[in-house]
Amino acid sequence: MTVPSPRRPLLLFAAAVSVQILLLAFQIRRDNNIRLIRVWTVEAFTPIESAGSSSVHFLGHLWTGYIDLRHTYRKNRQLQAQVDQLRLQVDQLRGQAAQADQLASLLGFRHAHPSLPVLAARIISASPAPETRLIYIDRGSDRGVQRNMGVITPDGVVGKVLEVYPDSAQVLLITDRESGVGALLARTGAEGVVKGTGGPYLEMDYVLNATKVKVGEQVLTSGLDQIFPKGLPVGTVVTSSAGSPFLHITLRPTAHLDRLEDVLVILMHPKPPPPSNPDPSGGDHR
Amino acid sequence: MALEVKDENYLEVRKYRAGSLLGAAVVALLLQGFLPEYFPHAELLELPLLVTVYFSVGRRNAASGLLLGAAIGLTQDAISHLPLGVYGIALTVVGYLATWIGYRIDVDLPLSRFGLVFVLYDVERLVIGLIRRFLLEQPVPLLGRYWLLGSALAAALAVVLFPQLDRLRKT
Repeated sequence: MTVPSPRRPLLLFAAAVSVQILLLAFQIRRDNNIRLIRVWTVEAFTPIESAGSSSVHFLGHLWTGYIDLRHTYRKNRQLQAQVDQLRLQVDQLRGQAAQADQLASLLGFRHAHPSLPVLAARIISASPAPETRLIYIDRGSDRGVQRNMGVITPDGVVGKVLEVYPDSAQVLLITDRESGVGALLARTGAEGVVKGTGGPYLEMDYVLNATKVKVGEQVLTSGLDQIFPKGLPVGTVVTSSAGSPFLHITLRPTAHLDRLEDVLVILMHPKPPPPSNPDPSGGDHR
Repeated sequence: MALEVKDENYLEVRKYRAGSLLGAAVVALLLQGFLPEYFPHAELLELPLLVTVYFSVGRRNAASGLLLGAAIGLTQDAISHLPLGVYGIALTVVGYLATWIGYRIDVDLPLSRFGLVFVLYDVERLVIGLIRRFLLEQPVPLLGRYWLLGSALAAALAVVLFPQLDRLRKT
């Protein structure tokens, strides 16, 4: 004989016991006269309701957070744009202030040298070739600018006019290899010629080895080249060493050639160039 | 899972005369309420339990065993003013276990009957104790005060009573 599977009776047994437990729970009353089945029901549903409520709150907070985040993001973008605009204004104001300082400096130079005829000019561009040190200014022959006129700033010598056009002029900076300025050492008065190196520094030639030169000593224009009047600052001695037969002197230009904006053209008629060029390299053809 | 049992006589499904089950249950319930009036210790006998065990084992059907236990237990609850389900659950468990044990041992032997009732009496007491403690929140001992005496008395009575109930079988 085959014994029936105990699974079905087991289910029936569980059902019978469960029903009777519920029946008991319906009859039993706990504190405050509440039926046990109600207590159980509340206890069974409370965690679910609590979880549901928490979920709803969580989703609510999530949504609110999302909206707030969007507002914050928009506000942040507005503020960022405002900051950018203000930064731009600050930069513009800084530029204007620097320009004003420079103009004040130029004005001060004019007052200090009332007899020196100068013309204020603005840098409009620089040389596109890195091998040459050239700039263009916005004043030309229409305003009396001529070749070989000196160009300076209140800080010092900048260069000389190389080519002239009606509304503009090309200026060779003193740092160019082809440049040369008559100069003297401020302390001893020893004369020489300051030449460009193509780099940021200058060299001073033709100073005798016997001359005592100190680092930091100022070098001024001698006026012998008849381009620059005597006494304008050219550079400061950086190094000095004995050579043959002259000293090797390196200078740092006094004028800030790397950030030129406004310059002064010395309206002195320069001497005409010599009829023949002794330099075989032909550098003066510029 | 189905169990294959070789001895067919051992698992013989017993049939009883019409109304014998109902009659035995009613008598047991009446006596269970009546006897303690005169013999206070008679309440330890648990006659409805004996009837449940006897017919559950004899019918060898778990479903009918547990339903018989539930019916007798709920009736006992009803007439004893207990919350419905206290004895109902206890005798449901007893009916189911009696059938389950009835498959496995020879319950016609007096010793088997003694042991079976002894154990199931304690099971009933334990279930009732658990219900009273944890559902009704009554501070009672789990097995009752005289569970050992009650078990022994009920088991002894079973040894005597079950052969009498065997007379209700159809031949």
